[in-house]
Amino acid sequence: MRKIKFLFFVLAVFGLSRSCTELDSEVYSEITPETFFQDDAQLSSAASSAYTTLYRWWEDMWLMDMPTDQSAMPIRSNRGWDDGGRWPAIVRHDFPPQDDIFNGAWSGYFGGVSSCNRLIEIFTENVGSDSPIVFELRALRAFYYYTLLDLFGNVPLETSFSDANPAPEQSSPEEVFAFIESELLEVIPGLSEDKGATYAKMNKWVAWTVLAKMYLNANNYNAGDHWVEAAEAANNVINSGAYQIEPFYFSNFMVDNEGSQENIFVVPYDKVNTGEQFAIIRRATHQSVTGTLDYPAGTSWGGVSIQEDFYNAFEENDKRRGMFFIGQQYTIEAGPTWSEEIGFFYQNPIDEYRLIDCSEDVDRFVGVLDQLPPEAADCNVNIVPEYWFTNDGRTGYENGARYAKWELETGPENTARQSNDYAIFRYAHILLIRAEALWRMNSGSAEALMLVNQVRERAGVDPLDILTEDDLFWEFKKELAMENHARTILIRYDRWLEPWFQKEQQDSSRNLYPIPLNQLNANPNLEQNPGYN
Amino acid sequence: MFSNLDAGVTSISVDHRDFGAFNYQVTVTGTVVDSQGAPLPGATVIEKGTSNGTQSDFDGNFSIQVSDPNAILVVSYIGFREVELPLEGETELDITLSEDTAKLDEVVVVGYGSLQKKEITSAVASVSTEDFNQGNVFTSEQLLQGKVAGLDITKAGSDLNQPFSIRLRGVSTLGANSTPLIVIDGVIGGNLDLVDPNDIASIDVLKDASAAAIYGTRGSAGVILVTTKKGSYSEKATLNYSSYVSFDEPLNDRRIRPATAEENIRFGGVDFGSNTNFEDEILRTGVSNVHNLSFSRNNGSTNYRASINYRDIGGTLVDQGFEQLNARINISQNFLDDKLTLGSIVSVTKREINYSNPAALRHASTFSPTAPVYINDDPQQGYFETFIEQQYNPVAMIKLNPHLGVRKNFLGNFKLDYKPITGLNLGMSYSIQSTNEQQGVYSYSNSRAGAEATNGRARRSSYDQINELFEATGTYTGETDDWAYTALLGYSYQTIVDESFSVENTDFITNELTFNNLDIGNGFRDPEGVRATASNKQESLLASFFGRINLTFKDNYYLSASYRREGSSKFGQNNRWGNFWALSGGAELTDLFKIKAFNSLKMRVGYGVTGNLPSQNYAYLPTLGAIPGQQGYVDGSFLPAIQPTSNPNPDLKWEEKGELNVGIDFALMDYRISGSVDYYKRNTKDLLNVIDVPSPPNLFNQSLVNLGELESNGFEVQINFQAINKADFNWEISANAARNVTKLIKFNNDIPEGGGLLRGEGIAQNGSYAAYIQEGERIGNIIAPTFAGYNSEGLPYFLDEEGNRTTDNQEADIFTVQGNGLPDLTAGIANTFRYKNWDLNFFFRGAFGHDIANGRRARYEHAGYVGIQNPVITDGFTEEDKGLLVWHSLYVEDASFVKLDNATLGYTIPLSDDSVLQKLRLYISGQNLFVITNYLGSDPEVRYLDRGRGIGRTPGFSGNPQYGGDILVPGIDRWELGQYPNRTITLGVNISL
Repeated sequence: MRKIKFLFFVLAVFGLSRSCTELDSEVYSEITPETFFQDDAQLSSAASSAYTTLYRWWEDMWLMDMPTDQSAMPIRSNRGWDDGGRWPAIVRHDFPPQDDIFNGAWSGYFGGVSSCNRLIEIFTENVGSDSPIVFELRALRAFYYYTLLDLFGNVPLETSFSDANPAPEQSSPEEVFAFIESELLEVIPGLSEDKGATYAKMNKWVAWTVLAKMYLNANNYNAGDHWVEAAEAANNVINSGAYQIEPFYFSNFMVDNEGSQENIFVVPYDKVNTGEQFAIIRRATHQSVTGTLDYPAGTSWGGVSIQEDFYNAFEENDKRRGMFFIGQQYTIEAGPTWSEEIGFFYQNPIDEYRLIDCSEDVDRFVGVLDQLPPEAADCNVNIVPEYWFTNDGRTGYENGARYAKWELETGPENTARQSNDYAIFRYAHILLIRAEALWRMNSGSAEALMLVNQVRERAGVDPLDILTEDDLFWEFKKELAMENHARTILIRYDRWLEPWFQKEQQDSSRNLYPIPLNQLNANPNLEQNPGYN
Repeated sequence: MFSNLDAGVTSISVDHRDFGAFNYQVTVTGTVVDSQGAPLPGATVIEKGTSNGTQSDFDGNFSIQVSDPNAILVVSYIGFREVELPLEGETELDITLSEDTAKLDEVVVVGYGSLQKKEITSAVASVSTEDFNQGNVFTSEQLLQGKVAGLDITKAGSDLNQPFSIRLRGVSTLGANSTPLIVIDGVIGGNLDLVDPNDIASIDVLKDASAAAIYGTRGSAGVILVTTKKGSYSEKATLNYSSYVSFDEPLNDRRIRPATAEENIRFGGVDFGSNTNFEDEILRTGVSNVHNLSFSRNNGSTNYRASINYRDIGGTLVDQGFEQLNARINISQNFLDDKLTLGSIVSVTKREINYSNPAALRHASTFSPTAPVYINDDPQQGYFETFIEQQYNPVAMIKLNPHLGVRKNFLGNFKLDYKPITGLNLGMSYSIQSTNEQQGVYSYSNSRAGAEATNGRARRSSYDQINELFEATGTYTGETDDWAYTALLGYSYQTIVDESFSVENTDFITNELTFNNLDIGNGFRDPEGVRATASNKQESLLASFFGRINLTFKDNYYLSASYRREGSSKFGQNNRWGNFWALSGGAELTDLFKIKAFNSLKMRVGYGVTGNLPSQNYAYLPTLGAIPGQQGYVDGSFLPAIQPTSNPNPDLKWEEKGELNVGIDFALMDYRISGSVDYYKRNTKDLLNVIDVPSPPNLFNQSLVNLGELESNGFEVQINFQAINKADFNWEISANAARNVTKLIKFNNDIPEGGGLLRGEGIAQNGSYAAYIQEGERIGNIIAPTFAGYNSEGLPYFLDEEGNRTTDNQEADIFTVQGNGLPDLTAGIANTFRYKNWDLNFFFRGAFGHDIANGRRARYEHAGYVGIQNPVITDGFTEEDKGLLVWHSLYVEDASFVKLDNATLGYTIPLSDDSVLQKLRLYISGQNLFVITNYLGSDPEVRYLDRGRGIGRTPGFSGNPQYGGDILVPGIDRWELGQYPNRTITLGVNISL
């Protein structure tokens, strides 16, 4: 019997040192909500998470800029970045609902919405619903909703996190419009007016800017004309005195552009802290940048370029043409530089420094060398993206101007990261919004003309005497090129469906993107947008 | 009877029978040996019809007094067929017992106990030393490959640092563990790295739920029970030494050939002026050396076995290999008149691994063959690079990206067994198993791959797991006239703690120190430097109570019932506990129905419910953390934005699998033919799976949920046939075959009718899908547009819905099912011959009816892409094709195959009686000697899971892999992996003294 007692003693020591059915495992390296939100630093950290959705803003050039009449993505000589014709298809407005770019944007911005919903509940509990942070988060949520409205039109409206409908139904564009409008108007009085303290955050003027853009495009959302409201909203930003036109266009796009007095709302890209999310070098530079800017070979995928008509729309003396890589390219010895005034240029473009070795690109043409023009081998970037095609639709790297709008560093350690802050809204945009709104109400509006000329003056082009729809359209397009507004502008001017480049005429269903297939599969209450079934 | 005596007969030998009734004694002596002449100590010799018996001694000798010179002796020995021997006056006998291939008396380990094979009522397979695969076997799972019907152990290619994938009866889960539970000497979740294949005595496989339910929660994918060797009962200590040397070579006729320099130029490639076969530059003959030494003793009270195993394994990829030292001691000691037994197992393994850079394999076929290895062929000037996007010199990839690791495993196991009264055994055990792996990768500053623009990049990572298990069991065994029973009750508690840590630094002033001095790098000092750190610690707990009853009635009817109630910390409060149970029965029909043709015919039926756990430890819990690349921006500076990192699922619960198994075990022709047939049907509900969820309301668009239903059925046949069984010639055939069909009954209630999921992305390039998962369909369907010839420009035509030809493959609806990645049938057949001192074994293995999506051809077999990548050339190559990176039905190939997996010829050198050696055997063994298949890729082996796209790009960190891949997408031969199989020749020696 003693032995059995001994046995049970041992059993007790081994087995029961931890209760024999203890199943609450320790959580070591993750934070539990119960232990967080203890001090201001933790609250700011939590609040900042609502903004991280914005880091995808450049990624969404696939939806906001690429499929427009200014961009092209021809298949390059070596088909290196062809992805089965996926990108040319997007340019043709072939929008398959299963493509990740749609689900990425949908779940990205709705992730932002849900993040705001969650934080609004937490902050309402911690600091009350009338606190500035709750107003700020509501304004940010309205901006995310506006982005979703603009892309997908029919989106679910969900403002709760803890009591959210597991399978919400869509609202119509006009309902979403009304929600955003009322939400912003309600929170604006409670938002900060201190633009310095709210850099890259929602403040009162950012909120008015969102409203101004939405009002101007109200017809895109079946909400009827809102010219008065658009002009008023823009005017609130102008009258704040918080922002002004920078003397030089490119001040807004330099690596160190935090001091820009023009940028209203930015994505604070940073090459250390925000990952490979502003990868313009990879996507949209010419292959010769490896020589020009001292990048490792293979840095540039060379795909995204400019349509010829768009480049030609710029007057010769338009300083904004500095946003393009064009013509003969040189080595780094030629001193490639960005100037705030004229953008990209070579300080010393002498013959000795000419880049001549772009033949490698040509060498990759297989069996079609005889189809190439003689100049195909030089490093002279021409403005025509389809300057020549092979029979199977490939074109050379040198074809098509490329974007040099944002200052690029030479010899960077990681070419997929940029530290330029990316302006979602600039003051020049606000001026143009007010100009167009006034012009829509009165095509003879002197103020409208004055505002447009203010923008033109900075660009170094002659002032206009009278303002036509075309003038306004092109001023918007040139001023905001590659800033993810082009699609919305085209729809507003009824030009989105017109044929251009490789795209044919389309019906109005293309004004909205498809509801992503993943979302339709996951939520039975969602209906596909018309024209995509 | 008495009349003869009365007649004065004096010799009792005149008529033996007449004196049978007298207590008259005849002494019979003899020796019991096996078919190879080895003595069998402890064989039982009984005079038939009496209780008179004895046992043979250590030399197999016995002596018995029988009452009748014509008595019949019954000689038996476990694992051998019993013989009945009429004496017919003989008093000196040499008895040869032949092995009992039906093995009805063999002890089968069933978890928390063992049963005789005849008592088994569920689907259990047992494989012991003599059936193990031979040759260069350096992981324990290789021992079993092809040996057990329904157990598929596969690895495409020959990267020796890649694990095998182990599948039992196909797929039974979507997102949870699909690898059988490993139990080593009772340690649940045992690590096979801790056991040298040489130390394994037997492996038992619990295939169906009625067998596995005793392991409840983790039994759904089956259970593999490994028993290590112990000292065998012997008068003196034994010493064994074995050693082999192996030569591994790429199986050249299975390599996909890269275009030669001449072809490359003809296709229009750039001529870099050289002629190099880069595969030859990075492949070699891998040489392995293995030494095993063990000694043991078992005198009935003290039992020990100690072993030390050294393995130096060289792979066929330059630099790849590992060096491993393993030591193990199994010891037990009896006390208190053998009522108390204390035992301990200690095992330590250290493995130093050189991973080399397997990604170099695909570059070896795509890097231009016109390029030299070195600039101007001069190693001093460095490696030549073409500077074509994403193409790197494969030799440089290996030499400038060293990737090393050290894995250290420790097992300590303490056991106590106490038998207070006859039949009752109280057992208790505690074990601690620790796994640690440290890895280091360095990319030289002059390496294009990995180090681009970082001026040297070093990464180190460490992964630790501590698995502690406490178990207490009580077993009572008893019998009445007709009944025998065993009852088991037990309790088990397990904690598993995982920790990981990694650091990456860049910008190194010298490459000399590689990853050994991270602080030399400047990445952390430079505010804009590239650097990374991460650390993680997690815990999971399991508690369970279990019981089992085994009943035997009249030695012919068997019943088994088990129950396990188990709780896991991986679920929320209300869902933690699950109940798993099983019931099975068997009946020996030969007696019941007087079936003469069979020696044994046993019918088994069993049903059981098992469970499965998610890999995620805290998926039920809302937790917060920082997401890489998602820093918060506050007051002009960045800080970690603390936010949820996934959608929590507080309702997460056990995945449950129900399985019915019906089987027949049979033996006939005097046990020369024996085998078993099993049919099973399994149904898994509440499948753990990550699915798309709507956003809103979810923060993330995927969640781990319980959803859907899988159903599979299949059969397994295992047959042994002793074709010839003579004293000096023996031929045995052992064959198995299995079929499994798994259907997805229900996936997601919300998927519109006819909807399904596209998977297997990137088969040829971004956005090309190779797999389609749809409700009501078999798992493993491979989809592609149907190829319909080339147009005048050499671009492929596809058939659209109306059957018209189109060149547009963007239309998703022209994708149709072209094949299935899972086999219709897998089979293995082994032949063993013994002639005098020679033994010969050859083993064929095959899989039939599966297709493979040949990503390497889809991606690389295009001459038109020569500007970017050198094409590969198979028999399917045509210069008519000008398509690029295109995915269509031409690349879905039938991959049925038969392999000569293993052939071994051995010779046991005859030894004189006074030799100090007990046994001396030499052998030569060949593995993977040839493959018969129509598959144009390099290895037609079934891919049971898809390792996805990321793999093979840069030297990776293993961390804690999530079961290694996507099991819903079998049958994909990824272009990212330049796999090729090896052929191995091994020369070995076994010595005993």
